[in-house]
Amino acid sequence: MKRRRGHRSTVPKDRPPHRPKAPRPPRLTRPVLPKSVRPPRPAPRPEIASIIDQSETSLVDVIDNLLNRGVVLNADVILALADIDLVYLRLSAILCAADRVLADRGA
Amino acid sequence: MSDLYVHALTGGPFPPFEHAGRRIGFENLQGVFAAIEARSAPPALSEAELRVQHAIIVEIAGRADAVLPARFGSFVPRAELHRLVDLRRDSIREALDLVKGREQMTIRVLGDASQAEAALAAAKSPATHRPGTAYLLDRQAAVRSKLPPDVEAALNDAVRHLVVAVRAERGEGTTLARIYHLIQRGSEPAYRQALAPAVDALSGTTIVTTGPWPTFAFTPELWP
Repeated sequence: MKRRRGHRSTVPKDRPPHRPKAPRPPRLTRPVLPKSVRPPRPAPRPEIASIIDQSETSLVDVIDNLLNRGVVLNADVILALADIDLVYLRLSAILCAADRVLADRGA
Repeated sequence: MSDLYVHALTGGPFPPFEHAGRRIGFENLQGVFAAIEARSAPPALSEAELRVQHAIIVEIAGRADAVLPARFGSFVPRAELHRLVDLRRDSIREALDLVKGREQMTIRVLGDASQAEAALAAAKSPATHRPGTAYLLDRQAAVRSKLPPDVEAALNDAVRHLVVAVRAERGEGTTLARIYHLIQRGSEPAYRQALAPAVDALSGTTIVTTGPWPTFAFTPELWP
């Protein structure tokens, strides 16, 4: 017959009296959505988008914004590349309705 | 005497600032303000110059909540600037009201232009339309984007709740179309999130979205 070892306690005999536990604060848990309403994972975007669509300004956007868009405020637009004028557009040429220009012809 | 190089029109004045060694001030045009730089000649076009000017306009947009960026090369005598703004004051104010507190997102739709052209050609076949109708369809195709209407509608519908104004234009080369959306500043993450499912659903078409940008595509036409 096996002899049972005596269980020796490591708690000192003069330990403080047992204190009741303080109530735990309620645990905050993240609600788990059922599978049917979970948002789908975004599909990987096309590679070209990831290349162009960066936080840094892309040249395509700079050109489009500054050369094709924006308020035209001046009379002349000089387009030059590498200090050589390629195109000279005189936008201040008469811009008015055709009927004003041609009014006298019909008279 | 130096003339003014105009970077943008704004709804209010701001203290002068320097960017890349260039001093930007604000000229009062009787309630409308121009972000200007005193220069003796307009800058020559180069990639570096475009990038600097773009960065200056972005910086102005960071200070002003209503900005109408100027096109590259807006170099004018002071008196001419006053006259032009005075002439179109109502249009400018209307545009400043539209863009106030807002920013621009740009969508480029890339694809096979020849297929798009073939689809348009089939739609305006003379066998199915009388000459007058065919002519009008030609005119419509010339000004409309090369996008199938359902693609443009899908992109616009996806972000309709976030978009204040839309501008769309026909692209060139492999760019079928460009769509510009005006959205509230700070709503870019929600915009991209809303747009993503529509982009993913348009298989076979490459959609490139960039921004937010200053409101370049929502400026008024100032010429008479």
